[in-house]
Amino acid sequence: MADREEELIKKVNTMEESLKEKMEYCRMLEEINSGLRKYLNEMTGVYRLLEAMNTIKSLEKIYDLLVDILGSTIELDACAIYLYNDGGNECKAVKELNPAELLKYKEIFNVDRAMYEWVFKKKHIAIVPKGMEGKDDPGLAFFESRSFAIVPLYSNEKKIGYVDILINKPANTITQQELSLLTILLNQTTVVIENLRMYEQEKETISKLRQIDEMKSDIMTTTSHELRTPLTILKGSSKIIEIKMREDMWNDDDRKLYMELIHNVNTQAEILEEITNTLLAATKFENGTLKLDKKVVNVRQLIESVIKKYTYKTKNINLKFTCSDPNITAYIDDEEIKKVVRNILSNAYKFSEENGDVEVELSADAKTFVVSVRDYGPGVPADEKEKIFDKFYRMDRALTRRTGGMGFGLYLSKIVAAQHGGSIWVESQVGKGATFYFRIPKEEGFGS
Amino acid sequence: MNDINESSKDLKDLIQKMDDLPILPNIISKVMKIIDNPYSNADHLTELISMDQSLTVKTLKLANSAYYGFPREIVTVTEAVVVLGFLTVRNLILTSTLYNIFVNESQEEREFDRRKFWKHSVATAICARLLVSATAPGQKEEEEAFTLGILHDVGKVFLDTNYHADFMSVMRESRKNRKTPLFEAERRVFGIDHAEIGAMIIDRWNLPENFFEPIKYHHTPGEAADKYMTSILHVADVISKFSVANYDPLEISAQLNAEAVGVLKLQEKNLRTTVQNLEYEMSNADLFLNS
Repeated sequence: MADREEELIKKVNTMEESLKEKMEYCRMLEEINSGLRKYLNEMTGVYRLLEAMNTIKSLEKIYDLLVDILGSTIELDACAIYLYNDGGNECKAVKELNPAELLKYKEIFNVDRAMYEWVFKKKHIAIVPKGMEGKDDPGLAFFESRSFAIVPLYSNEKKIGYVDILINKPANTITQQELSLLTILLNQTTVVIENLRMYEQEKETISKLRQIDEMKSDIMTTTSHELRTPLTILKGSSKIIEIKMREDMWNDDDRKLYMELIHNVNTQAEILEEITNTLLAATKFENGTLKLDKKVVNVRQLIESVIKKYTYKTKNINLKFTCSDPNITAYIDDEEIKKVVRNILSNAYKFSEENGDVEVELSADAKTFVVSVRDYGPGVPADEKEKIFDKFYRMDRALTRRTGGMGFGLYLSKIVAAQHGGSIWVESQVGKGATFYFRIPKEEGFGS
Repeated sequence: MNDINESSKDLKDLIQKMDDLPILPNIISKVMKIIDNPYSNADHLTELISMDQSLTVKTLKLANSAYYGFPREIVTVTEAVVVLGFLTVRNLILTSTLYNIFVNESQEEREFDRRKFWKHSVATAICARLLVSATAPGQKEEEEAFTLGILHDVGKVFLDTNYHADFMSVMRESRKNRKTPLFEAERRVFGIDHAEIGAMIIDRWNLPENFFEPIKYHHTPGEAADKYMTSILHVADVISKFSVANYDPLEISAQLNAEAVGVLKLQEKNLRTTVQNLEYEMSNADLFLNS
């Protein structure tokens, strides 16, 4: 009996032992299982980011994804991604999660400039220690259950930005795995961010280059078109002169023709010169090498000198000049302002009918003078009033062909006016003509 | 009696002497184990360090040194681990332990100046870290390079301790005949050089396996499979002997293994910058030098 009892006790003991062992196995398996689950979770995060690197083309989406992945791999309460601008002197948040919470803990952990400088010097993730201040304050125990991490973002040797992370567990329990995971995730993100930024920059450069290319072919087309007419006339006239001279075919009756041909050559050479000068001036404006040579000038005399020299060969136009005060003076570059008057006048002539009227007026107030030129041509449609001052802008093709011109004149006039601190504009009603104005500060007393 | 036989006899004797090697304190292997476990945290490391009072003091002293330049005072070992990182703390522990083994105060009178030797080890360590940071930034690699730098000449300590007279004559010979590198002179006399002995010691001390190759081949990096770390250690070993004042590009390139330079894609200006940075860092490394 006693033997049986003993045997039973033995059996029970063995069973208990084996049960304990099995339970221990179960516990270990459970531990392994939870470790594997965590690992799987972390790897999924890395995988998602790597996958996104190839597909996502928007920076914002990458920031969103990063915060999402961080949240699913570590226990994250708040976070902010800061990036430097191209010059590296300005840093701003591009993505924030619970920024108020982050700021609060930044103060509690006393995360100051020196801390960031240190992190950037070391170039690796740093967990800010909780510090000794207020250690006896029981309220702080709660704060110590969280930790503040700073991760510097580097691409090669270039500082890209940094990430602040508020982790919902005390610093002393963060594992090496979690730290290296954070590092891997953020290093990968830095690569993605840099690539996307470069991609954006390239896109911008390409569009700029395309614009320049378009502008260049515009210039080529307009210039060659403008040069062709005078060149054809020049060539034709000189060819006739050459033939007649070689064959000694001149007689007195040809004198009139001879004069006309020579006149053609002169006029077309002048036109070519003007085109060249305009192009040259445009280049100077473009690259900023044009400098104003200002002096005190009588504006009335300036306008009169332009009008007197201005002869439009093909049309008979009635020009009227009125002036409110004959003694208006201003401190300006007279050659450049003359060009403006000439451009506007030439425009008015171009768009006027035979025997049409053009009215020029000069007026002034205490600080500025205004020149206006009115024509009774087709006028400027409302939606083109701004555009006509753009470079190479010309109204419609038919009109252009009829009137000619490089489309530079008004653009140059706008720049000259702007360089003088003034402005240029047009008032018009379609069918009733147009009035061009330009207003320039007198700056009297400056140079006198 | 021919040389080879004599060398082999020495070699046998030498391997026997390995048994007399000072053993690495138990704590180091425990620290290594913790660092190897990715799921360990600062608490685990702190628990271990706190058991050794002098180690605790040293860790905090180093953590607060100018070399690490942390902007706030680090008061607890946990903070030191959190701020400096696991690998750096491992280095601190390893460095202060090895200092005790390498710099034997009673041997100060000896011809092989252990303090000078220690200084070279620290310079190589810092230089190796700088080179990693300049070629392929990564904290893990930087810390590994540092540790290798400290350990790379451990074989010399062994030779000096066990074969002092022979080792001194080898040193003198190598110094006299500048064309014969020390390791070649060692091979002639002992049948083995300090780099190989060093690797054997690493093995005996159960240090991480990846330390073995860089130490074994730090004079002949072309023979290593782990070309990167071996090249780092080789270049660091060579250029840490130079300063800004005696910087000599010709002399440096004569001593450097071309393959190692190629592996690291180093240019002359990289070397010059590293020597400059090394000088600056050494001026902050007092605590390492007098651990």
